[in-house]
Amino acid sequence: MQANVSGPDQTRAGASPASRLLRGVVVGLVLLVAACGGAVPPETEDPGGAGLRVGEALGGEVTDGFRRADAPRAFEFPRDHGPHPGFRNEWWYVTGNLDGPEGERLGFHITFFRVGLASELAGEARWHDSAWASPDIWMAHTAVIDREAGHHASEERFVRDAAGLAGATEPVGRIWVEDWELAGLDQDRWMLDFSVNDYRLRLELEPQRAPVLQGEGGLSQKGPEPGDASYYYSVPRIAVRGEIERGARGRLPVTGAAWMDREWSTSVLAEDQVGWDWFALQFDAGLDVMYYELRRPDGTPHPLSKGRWMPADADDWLLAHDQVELEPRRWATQPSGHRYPVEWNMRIEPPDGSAPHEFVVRAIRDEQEMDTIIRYWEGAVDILDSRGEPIGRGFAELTGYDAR
Amino acid sequence: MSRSLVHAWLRDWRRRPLQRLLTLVAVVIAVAVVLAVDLANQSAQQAFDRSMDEVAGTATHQILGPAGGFAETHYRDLRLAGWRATAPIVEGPARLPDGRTIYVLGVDPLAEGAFRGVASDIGDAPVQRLVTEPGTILPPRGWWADAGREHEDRLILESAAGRFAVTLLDRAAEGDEAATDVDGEGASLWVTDIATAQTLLGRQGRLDRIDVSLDDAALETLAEQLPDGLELVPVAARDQASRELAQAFRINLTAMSLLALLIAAFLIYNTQTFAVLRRREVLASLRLVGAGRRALFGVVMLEALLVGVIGTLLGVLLGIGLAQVLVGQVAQTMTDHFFVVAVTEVAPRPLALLAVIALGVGLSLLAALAPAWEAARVASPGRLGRGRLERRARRGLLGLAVAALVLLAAGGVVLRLGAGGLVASFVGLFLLITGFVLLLPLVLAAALRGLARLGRGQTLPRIGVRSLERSLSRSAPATSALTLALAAAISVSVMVGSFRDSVEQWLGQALTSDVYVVPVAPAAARSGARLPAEWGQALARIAAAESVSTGSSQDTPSDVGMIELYVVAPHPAWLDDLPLLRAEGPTEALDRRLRERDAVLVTEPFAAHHDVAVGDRLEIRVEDGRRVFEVAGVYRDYGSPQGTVLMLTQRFYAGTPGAEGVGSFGLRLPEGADADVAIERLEAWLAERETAAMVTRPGDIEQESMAIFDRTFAITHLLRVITLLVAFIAIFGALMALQMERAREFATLRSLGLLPGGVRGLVVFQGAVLGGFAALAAIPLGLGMGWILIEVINREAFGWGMDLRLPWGEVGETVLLGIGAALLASAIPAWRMARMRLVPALREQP
Amino acid sequence: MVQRGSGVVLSLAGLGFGYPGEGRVLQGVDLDLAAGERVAIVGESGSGKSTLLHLAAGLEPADAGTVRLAGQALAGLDEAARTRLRRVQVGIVFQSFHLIPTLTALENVMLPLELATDLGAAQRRERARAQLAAVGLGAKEGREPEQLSGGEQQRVAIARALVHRPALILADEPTGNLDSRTGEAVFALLLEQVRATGCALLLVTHSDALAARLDRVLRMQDGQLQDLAARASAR
Repeated sequence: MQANVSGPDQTRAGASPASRLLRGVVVGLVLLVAACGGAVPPETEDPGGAGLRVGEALGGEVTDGFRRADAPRAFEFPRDHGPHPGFRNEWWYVTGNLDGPEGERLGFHITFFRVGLASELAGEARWHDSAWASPDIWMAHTAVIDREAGHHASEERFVRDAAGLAGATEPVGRIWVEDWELAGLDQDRWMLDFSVNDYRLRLELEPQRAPVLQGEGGLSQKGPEPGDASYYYSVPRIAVRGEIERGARGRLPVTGAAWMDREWSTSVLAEDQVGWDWFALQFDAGLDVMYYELRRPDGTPHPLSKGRWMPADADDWLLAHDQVELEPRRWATQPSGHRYPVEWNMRIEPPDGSAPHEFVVRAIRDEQEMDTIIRYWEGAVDILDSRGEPIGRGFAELTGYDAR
Repeated sequence: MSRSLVHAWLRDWRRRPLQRLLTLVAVVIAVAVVLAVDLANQSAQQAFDRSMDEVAGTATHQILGPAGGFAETHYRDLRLAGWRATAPIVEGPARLPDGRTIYVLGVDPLAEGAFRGVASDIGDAPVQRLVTEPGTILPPRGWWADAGREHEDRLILESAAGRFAVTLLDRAAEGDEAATDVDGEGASLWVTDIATAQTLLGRQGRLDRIDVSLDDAALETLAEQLPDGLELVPVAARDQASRELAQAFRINLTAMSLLALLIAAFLIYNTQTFAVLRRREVLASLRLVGAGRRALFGVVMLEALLVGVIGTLLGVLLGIGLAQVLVGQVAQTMTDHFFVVAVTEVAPRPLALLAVIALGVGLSLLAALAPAWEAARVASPGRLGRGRLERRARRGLLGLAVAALVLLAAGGVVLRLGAGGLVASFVGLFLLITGFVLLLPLVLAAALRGLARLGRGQTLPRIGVRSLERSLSRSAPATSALTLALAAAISVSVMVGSFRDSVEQWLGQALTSDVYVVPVAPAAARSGARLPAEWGQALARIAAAESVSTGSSQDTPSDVGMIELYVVAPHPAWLDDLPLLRAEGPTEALDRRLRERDAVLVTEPFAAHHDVAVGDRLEIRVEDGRRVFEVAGVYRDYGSPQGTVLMLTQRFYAGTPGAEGVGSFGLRLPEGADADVAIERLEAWLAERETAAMVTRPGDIEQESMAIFDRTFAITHLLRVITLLVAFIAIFGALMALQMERAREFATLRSLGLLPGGVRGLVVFQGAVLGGFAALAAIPLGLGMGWILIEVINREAFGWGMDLRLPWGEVGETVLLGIGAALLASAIPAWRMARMRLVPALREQP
Repeated sequence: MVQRGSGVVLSLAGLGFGYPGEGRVLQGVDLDLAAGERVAIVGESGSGKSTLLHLAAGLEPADAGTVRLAGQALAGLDEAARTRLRRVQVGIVFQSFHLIPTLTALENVMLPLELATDLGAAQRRERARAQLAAVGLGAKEGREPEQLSGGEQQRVAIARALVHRPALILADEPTGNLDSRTGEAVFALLLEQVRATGCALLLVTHSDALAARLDRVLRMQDGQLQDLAARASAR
């Protein structure tokens, strides 16, 4: 009883009010998809209470009027790099590993989330003549890992899709949340420009391979119900070059490789999922692998966990959860106190019948948790062979570890 | 102190409940009035501050534009340039169906977190609905209770842009108990999403301000980056003028309550003294049975303490009730003049409560001190007679007069110096009042003697007059109380009357057009609403007008802070109508200077507040940046207590005059033209326009202005009534006491053959004499106070000058009121004396 | 001087009076006073003799029996009518003078004329002066009561009681507040003035010596009246 009462109140006293909504939006809709949702009992402290509340506010009826990801669709690029109005959520998710000229090792992460608070504006048309009138808001997260400086920084924003403050152009071209921007999506080269605290990144992105559709032809089932799915594709290998301003430490020219994930959906909630471990791995040999393991409350993988095996210059294949073994080797406690796995043994039986791949995935830095309203771990990783030699790089995203 | 002693002393309560109750009533009223005014002041102040804080939030600065807001793209540009500690605001007044004005604050909930709690919380379903359902609004929490509306109800709001049906959202109804913490009781703003606010207030594409919260270093950079037309202004600077004015208004009120207290003090003293003297036989017998002096002193003081405590407690309750009435009045005034304030609760501050309790109990004890001391001091209590006291009182008159003269002189000096501002002025005024009042007993005694001499041969009137004189210690304080109350009433009449006259005269002068075209908006919003400037020609043609004037008010930054700038394109020869107070040269030259050079006129309050004189320079932000303007003249204007700067259109606009519209058009019709015809035509034309506008005559504007004026002073009338009530009770108590003391005489007269009706007549006559004296004495005092209020206090507080007008009608009314009050107050004593049983009265000791 | 009719000035019949809870002060008192008759009532203090006087003057209503003043029954009259009857028919001399302190001696004497007669101011003044002179205070007419000795005050009171020539003077211990010498002088003056004006006199006193100087002496005992003189004459 005590906990019930005091938990949410502390939340209110502590967190900035704006954060409450967005925590809810995040928890309920976007980032964690099925992870926390309604599963978190109210007596858990911070995110649970608010999440539940917003889940109630936003859940259920709010899918009314939104389009659902309930059937395969034809993808077309660059058109589909642009926004898909009518779905409740959509994100642009770019992660990457970067190198400086003197062996500096860096990583970055930027996510643009569009969230429809409602499918359309309610009320009489008379009220819709303001440039501010919009049912959509944007959330954006950025992070940078600077291994030499021993630094991981992250930032988040919430801005309404109105008055030119944030949005995505139609036809495709530009995604922006104030002065964070992903532009040129209709071109061969994209421009990414954003800041994380003192860091400013200006990067030129050049996709190295065509977009790869995830799930079944781009329809990624996340829950048992039809429509509890998303449209999902990746651009797994993107060459990066550009410049990072590092506050007092000056500018640094960088090169590297990035990965873009794109997803849009309306309802993806499932009750028996507490979080996921997602990997975007780029092997030096040219192979790219995406795999996410949805975790059930007992820690076992959910049968809907899946991935994609994307060899260079060959067909790509769906990775079913029984084709992948993922075993955490080491855990690390973050400054926030949450514990995440930071090193894994991974074994993949390639669906194309080639020999099994066995390797180690290891975070380049243990502490890469996002200091955002909803906590998650988003970090650069190295891929090591059995001898410990690096054979690739990638990014991992770990969610649902902050609940207790 | 023995119980029986206390019993013996307090038995009188049962015997003469009415008399004792009077003492109680005096304390109750004194405490109630002071507390009520303090409460009302505090509550209004809190509401005012809260409103200011709500509006400003935690912003340190605000970005303001010239007039009617600025393009919202400026905000986008700032945000895209990385200025994140900023929040866009669209705000303005609107009117409820019941005619009350509310203040609408349009915010972007996503940008609010750093500034205001009130609508930042999209996690709350209602706040989210603000965004997804334009046309929804969050009324202040305290509004619901009395409004009789429910969550989801539709309500018609009238604003500068027209009439809108909004949907009311109640956080509580959406199950958000936590909202209380954020919102707080008594919040006064109607919060809505910025999109709704733009539509509701007709501000599409525009913002009224951008709130900024930054440290100094960042501010400098920001200020440099701001485009032309935008200014970064500290929040404090924007509120300063309003705060000062509100304070002046409150000091005025407090002074009124202290006046009531002063009157009540006379009353308490009167009844307390009487309470002791009435029981001198009891005192005598107590002495005889061996009660010591200290015991007697103690028992008298104990009673005073009881009266004080009970009276104070009741007074606190009454005061809280009374405050509910007052607070609405105060809030209304503040809303009319300074800001929209919604006061929903009256919360006594512990400290003020303590002060008032100390005041009530202390005053009771203090007033009883003299009689208690007297009671204890006299060797043989039998000698504690009225005559003796009266003789002493008369001897004291001279000392009193000396003190009075000293006070009068001191008051004069304080007022003359006038250095300490408003408070010093009030101190001076109170010194003068007290001095005058202390002089009253002496004058009263002389007047009564004179009257008695005059009435030689008129035996009965002579008895009446001489017995008043003999009971000077009784009649003088009561008369003083009534004098004070009447003087206060007269002074308020003089002040308000003069003010009202001056305002009316000014309106007549200022409204030089025959017809006005103004935006459709509640009065408070009108200065912000705009009409297309290009209408001017069309309007002139349609109305066949001789000339068209335009005027627009706007807040603009200057080197003396935010100022109200009135940009006008006047009729020809307009300066002949303007009540210029100080200016150099002929009006033609002045007109040319205003047109051709950077010169402005300022209003009298502006000159007073900013200490500006003709020839001084002001740096004022105009359309294309700041320029220095010379003050070419000061004119009388009651339009704004803060003061206004008047500038001609061509000096303000670099390019097209009135780019963002004008506040109003004034049309001057040719001699003999029928205004009704012109109005009809204009209305037909306006009906086809998209922008809502209406035609109004000077008379309508005058009427509305005077209505606001009268509302402002309604509270002073209320206090006046309370003051008179206190005085009425004082005179009632005094007459009651007087007649009781003179019972033996009356009984003798009755035994000699005076009819009961004669007794009644005699008592009423005495009341009339006291009332008449008070009324006569109140005339000079009241006129003097009125003069000081006008010439010193109002100037000090508002910077308003006005022509002294002696409202003889109201003065006469007040005099009659005083005599009437005294007559009314003598009704019960007269009736009681006439019905008195003669034999017991005859047996009383002389 | 003024010839009175020979009728009964005051007639008390079966008169009774009492304060609630304090027993009867008067019980079954009968008394007739003829015009010009001078009667004394003696008795211990508290025997009810002053009350009898008050009832006779109509200052207080009797609760049993009747009071007739100049033939009129008081019981049937309202307060104003009683007062009118009293001010014409009765003059009262109190033990403690009861002068109006705010009036001069002359004004005090003028009062009854103002209240009971239609005389003009000048006449009133003249009559009052004469009356004041008659009691030997012509020289002190401008003094206020405070400035007069006790004896002088009572003389003013006597003048005031007589000035309008009432049919009946009620005197309640008129010498009670005076020393014996002054008392004697005042009493003599009272008798002299009563005789001179031809009024009837009902005197209440505890002094048998003073009482004996009147036509008739009645004794008040336990609220009842015994006619001593009548008994004496029967002997």
